Amino acid sequence: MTDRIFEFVEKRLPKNNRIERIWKIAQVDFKRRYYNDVLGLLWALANPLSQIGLYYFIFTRIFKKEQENYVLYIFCGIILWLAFAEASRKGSLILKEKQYLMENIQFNWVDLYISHMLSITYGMVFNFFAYAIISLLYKNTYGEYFYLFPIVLLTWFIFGLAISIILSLLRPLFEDSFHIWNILLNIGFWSSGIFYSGTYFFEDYTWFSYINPFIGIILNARACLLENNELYPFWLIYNFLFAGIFLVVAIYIFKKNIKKVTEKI
Amino acid sequence: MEMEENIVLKVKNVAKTFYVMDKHASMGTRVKSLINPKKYAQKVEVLKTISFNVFKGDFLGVIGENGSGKSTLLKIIIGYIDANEGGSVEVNGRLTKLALGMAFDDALTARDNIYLNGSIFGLTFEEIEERFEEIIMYAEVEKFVNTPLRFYSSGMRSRLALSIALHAEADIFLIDEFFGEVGDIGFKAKSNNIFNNRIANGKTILFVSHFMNLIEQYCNRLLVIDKGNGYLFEDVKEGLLFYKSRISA
Repeated sequence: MTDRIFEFVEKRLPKNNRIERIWKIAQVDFKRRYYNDVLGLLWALANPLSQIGLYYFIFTRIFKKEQENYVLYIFCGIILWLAFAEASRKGSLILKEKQYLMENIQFNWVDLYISHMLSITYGMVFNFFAYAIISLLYKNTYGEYFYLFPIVLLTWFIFGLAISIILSLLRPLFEDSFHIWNILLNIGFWSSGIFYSGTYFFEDYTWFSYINPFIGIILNARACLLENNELYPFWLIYNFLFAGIFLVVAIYIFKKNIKKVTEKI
Repeated sequence: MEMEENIVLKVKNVAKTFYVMDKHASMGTRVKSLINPKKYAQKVEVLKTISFNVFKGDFLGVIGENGSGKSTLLKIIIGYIDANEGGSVEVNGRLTKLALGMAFDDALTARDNIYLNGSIFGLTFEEIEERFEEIIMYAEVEKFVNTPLRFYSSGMRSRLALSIALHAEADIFLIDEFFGEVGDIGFKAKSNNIFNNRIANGKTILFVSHFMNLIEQYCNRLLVIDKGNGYLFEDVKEGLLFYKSRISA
């Protein structure tokens, strides 16, 4: 099934070696992750679903949280967050894992990061299909702002790309950066409004909403995918610009320092 | 700065010094070495000063003992690492190092691997499609196109890798001992034939090898690297004599 989807897209790509190479590396990375396992792509679903089940139980049964469509509410946030966490962790290893390409072929090395984010996005899209099915079971129609979802996804993609670039530069020089990043991911997991509304931060901790784009990303993802959820246009635009500027800075730092890093690999 | 029209690669005053950190150094010293490597890390001078030009259609041999700096020079030419300040590399055209089975993945089928490696070597999917039959026929794996590589014998794997590499596209090829020793006598003859017709025929090549007979057979110029210094010879035989005198010294 996935092979057919890949084939369908592949035949419609522009006949350009750079675009095709980015696509192929992403596709192969994706296959590498799941095709060796007996259940294959189902593992891409297993992790978020198991976590959603667990948190749903804890928050609704133990903490008695009352929220309309709470499973979908958590699902929206957790898909985006887990995919970002995976992108950043795996992204930190790109320079080491793709050394064989960089040593042998001349090309724009930023392409490797685009491929990497694409391969993570394939898995996330698969999760969103699962979301759509569960959404049907809950008789939830899409949110009022569904048409803005591509902007939310693009912001997620650009931010993940920028973080992967920075982490991949740090890790070969400073292995401890991986552990520091894991701590930050843990903090981010509980402070991005996955289980509650991120609006909590807007009044008392506004500064935090400015430095953690996931608060706005998750709120606006819910406005797009869930009924009766408010859109935050300011954060939609702010986060998009934040991610864009962060990416420009990350690419600048990358171009400036990459050769110093490749020497250390 | 524009390069002379027929120069495709210009290597000027390239030197390379690495600063290597002692594995057992303290955390403090490691952090300090990131900021000021010259003060806190050990200095290893790999290349001293190397300058040469490669002209369009050249088959330039590069020879040197293990540890002489050949790989470092290739890494600088391909742009993986920088030369020391003051050195420069200018390339006119697309440069590719022909490495066998560079991006092979055992879990994927031969078909997937051909498309992946082909696109890495600069071919569009359309071009790969056009050459697909030729690649698998040459590699003699027609019946196993949809078989994952983990079920291939090492011979089949090598033949496929060589077949893909021989169909690569670039203006300048860097070849690091990759051909000649794959497969049986018949396959070697076939490889040499394809290599002569497709790669060696009018393309610009930098050929790194320890095999003096291959260098003598193919190259029109020779760069000898000895202890980090480069010596360029327009006469290959003369260069090989110089190299022999250095290794026996």
